[in-house]
Amino acid sequence: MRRGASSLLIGLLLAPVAIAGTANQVRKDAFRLLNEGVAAYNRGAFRDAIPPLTQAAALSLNSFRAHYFLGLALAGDRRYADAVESYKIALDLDPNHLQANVAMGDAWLAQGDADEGNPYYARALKLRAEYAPALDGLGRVAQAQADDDKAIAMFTRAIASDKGYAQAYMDLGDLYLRQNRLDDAIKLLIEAVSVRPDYTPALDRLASAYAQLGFSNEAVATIRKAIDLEPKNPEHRATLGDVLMRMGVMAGAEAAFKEAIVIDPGQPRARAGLAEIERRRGAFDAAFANLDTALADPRIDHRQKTALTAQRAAIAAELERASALESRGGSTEATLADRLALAELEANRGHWDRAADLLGAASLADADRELLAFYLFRAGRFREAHATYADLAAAGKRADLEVNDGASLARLGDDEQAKRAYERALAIDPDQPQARLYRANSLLRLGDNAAAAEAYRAFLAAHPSGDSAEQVKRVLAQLAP
Amino acid sequence: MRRFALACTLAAIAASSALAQDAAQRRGFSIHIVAPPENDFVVGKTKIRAEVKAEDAADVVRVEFLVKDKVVFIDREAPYECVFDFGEESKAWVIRAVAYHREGFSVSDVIVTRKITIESYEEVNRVILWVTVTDRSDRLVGDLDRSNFRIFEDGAPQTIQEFTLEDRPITMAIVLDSSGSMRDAMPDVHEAAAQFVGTLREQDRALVIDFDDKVFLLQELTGDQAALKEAVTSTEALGSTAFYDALHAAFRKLHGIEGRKAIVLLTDGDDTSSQFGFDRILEEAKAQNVLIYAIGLGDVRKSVLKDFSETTGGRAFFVSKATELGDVYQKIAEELRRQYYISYSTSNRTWDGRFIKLEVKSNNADWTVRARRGYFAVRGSPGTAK
Repeated sequence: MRRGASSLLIGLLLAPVAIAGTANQVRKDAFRLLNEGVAAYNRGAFRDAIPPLTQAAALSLNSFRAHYFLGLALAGDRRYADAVESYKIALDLDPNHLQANVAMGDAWLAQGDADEGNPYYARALKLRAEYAPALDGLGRVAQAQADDDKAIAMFTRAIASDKGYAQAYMDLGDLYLRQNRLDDAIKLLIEAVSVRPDYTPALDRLASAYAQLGFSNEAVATIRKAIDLEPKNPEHRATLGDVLMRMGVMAGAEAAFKEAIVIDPGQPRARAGLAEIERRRGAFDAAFANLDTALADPRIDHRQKTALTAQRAAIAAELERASALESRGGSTEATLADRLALAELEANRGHWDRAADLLGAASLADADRELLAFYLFRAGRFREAHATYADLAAAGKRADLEVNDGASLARLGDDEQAKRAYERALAIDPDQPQARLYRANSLLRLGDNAAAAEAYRAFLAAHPSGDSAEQVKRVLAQLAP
Repeated sequence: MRRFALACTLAAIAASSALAQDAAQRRGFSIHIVAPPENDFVVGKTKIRAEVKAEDAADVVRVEFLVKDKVVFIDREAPYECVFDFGEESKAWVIRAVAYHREGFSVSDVIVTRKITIESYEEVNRVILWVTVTDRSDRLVGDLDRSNFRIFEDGAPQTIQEFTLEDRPITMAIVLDSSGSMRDAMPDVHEAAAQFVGTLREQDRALVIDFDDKVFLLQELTGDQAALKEAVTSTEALGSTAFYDALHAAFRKLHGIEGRKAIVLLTDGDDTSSQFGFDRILEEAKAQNVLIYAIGLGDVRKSVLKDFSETTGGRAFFVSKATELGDVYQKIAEELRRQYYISYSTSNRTWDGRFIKLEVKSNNADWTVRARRGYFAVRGSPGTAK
């Protein structure tokens, strides 16, 4: 089915090309068009490269270069099914072309077909032992087949084979990111950037890793660097949007996503980001419109399609729930369950104030008051949050409630009281990680650097890895360089 | 610290691999997959065989055969081979064989098979043939009916279901050699090819391919005779000969088009610069249901052109002078207008990739019957509905 569709696309691509002429003219045209297309491809203008290369390949039937570069340009424009058709001809003409085998594997993999991609990487590896791009491809195949151990082994072999092959660092870094091994991911991506400082995909991933770790400044600085290097690449704008959205800077995120879709209207992450922003606003039609635009783009790859489809289904389900709840929520017939569900919906949209108000007006059990306290905290109503948490903590001896009370007090600027709340938490549970960490933060803000450093070190000894550990290491480095 | 650990891991990987290679080299230990051949296509039950070289046969502890990274067989004594069922669908497979030395190291070999693309239509069990019949004087025989023919697949008789004198449109690739050696013949080539274009009926369509060491499409498929004539009369002689590449390009251009298809190839020499080899193109000719009419001008290797054309049910013609080309093209045009269309449902039920031999016999010993010689038993292969 896919093959049929792709042949049709190739057919459509070829349709406007007028092919007729004398032998002499055809030869001249083929040569000129190939050069034009390759030049456009080499300057990264993939879409501009496609028409001349399509014509060159249609005229020059046994030109490996015409078919190979057409494949590269189509893949560059994310038309992977069409790229496969071009690579197929190129590889028929030269089955032993290393890069074409890898490119074919990549095009299959981008369509989510690891089984079809695998043989091409295997052939490339046979043509040149330990060829880093082929090993990297086999790593991505293993990853697609959910064999992370094999994937890591392949990526590691690729790096061992060619320490300058930045893509393998990036793929291994991506895998670490997915496994939440943020520390390993960052180390690796920093290494990739040190190998090739202008390698923007690694900068892009590094920014994402920083953002996941909560290093917002580093994340923004890194992705800005990628944008400076490649201002017309929509991927980096989309990543900036993701980073800003994670930081809660919604206006900035929206602007970045919109910049991305100006460059490429189908950019899937930018469309997904905009859909999320619209969802939070309750503008479901606009959210759907963004997702549908991305899904209608034939260049979308398998993974993106799966993610966008899932996002769309989740929004549709939310819309259905929201319509039912909102009609009851506003009426006097609204039950507590309705209010709780509606508050949850508002919270999911980032409307913390509204969520808190919905619950604040009801008579609540302790478990629901805890939720109310959380909404109050997220809404920035720290005094009300502190009052609720303190009340709940007094009623039941729970370390996490004391920690939350401490966090509310800290946000009110009362670090002394906050420290005491954390110490009460540690008295209940001496291993409570947040209590240890936040107490150290309080000590630092209170100016007791020696005690803070000691508390940080104790935290690090108990929790040597993870995003908090990374942050603590940085603080300690500044406290005692 | 972690960077150091990564560097250590990388170094360890490189070192262990290098040590194993070194040990294998010193012991003269190696493995080579000899069947199926690299880049072959495999379907159904297929033997995988590996040859292991060792100082002493007893050094070989075992040989593992893997298909798609899964062990499918372990052989502990020579000959090292197994049979694996690759199924009915032609795919690219990664086949690996690993030989283990008694000292603990191993060597491996990998082959990757090729996916074969075969003309296929909806009616997968239907086989379609275009048949030409000539008498002892090489005159075309018309007015025949199905009772005049018998069809055999690997010797097994088949029942004809459809029989008619073919008068539906044909799609054709006119492939012209314009290598340097054709220079003197060019005026005659242009005239003969243009006359041939003139024999096309209104509903027929053709494309024009021009080749020397490069292959160019001069005219996309069209029924416009003026455009076709302009293309065939514009070729200029230059360069060497890549007619295998040109045939491959013609197969590609005709692939997916339904109905009767033919390639009419003119060349004056042996292939000197193709990227494809003879075997590959012959295999392609067997896989595609396209009639090949080959015209050899002057001193050519007749067997090559005969193999291509006779395999497909077409015909090879050989002329010593370019002035004779007009008659040959005329003959081809007549033949294409006097072919029989025959279809039958194959009795074959085993789709194992083998080449099924077809024979079309007539009930008159004076007649010569030409039809394609067979098809690959791959699902979808023989189906060549209208």
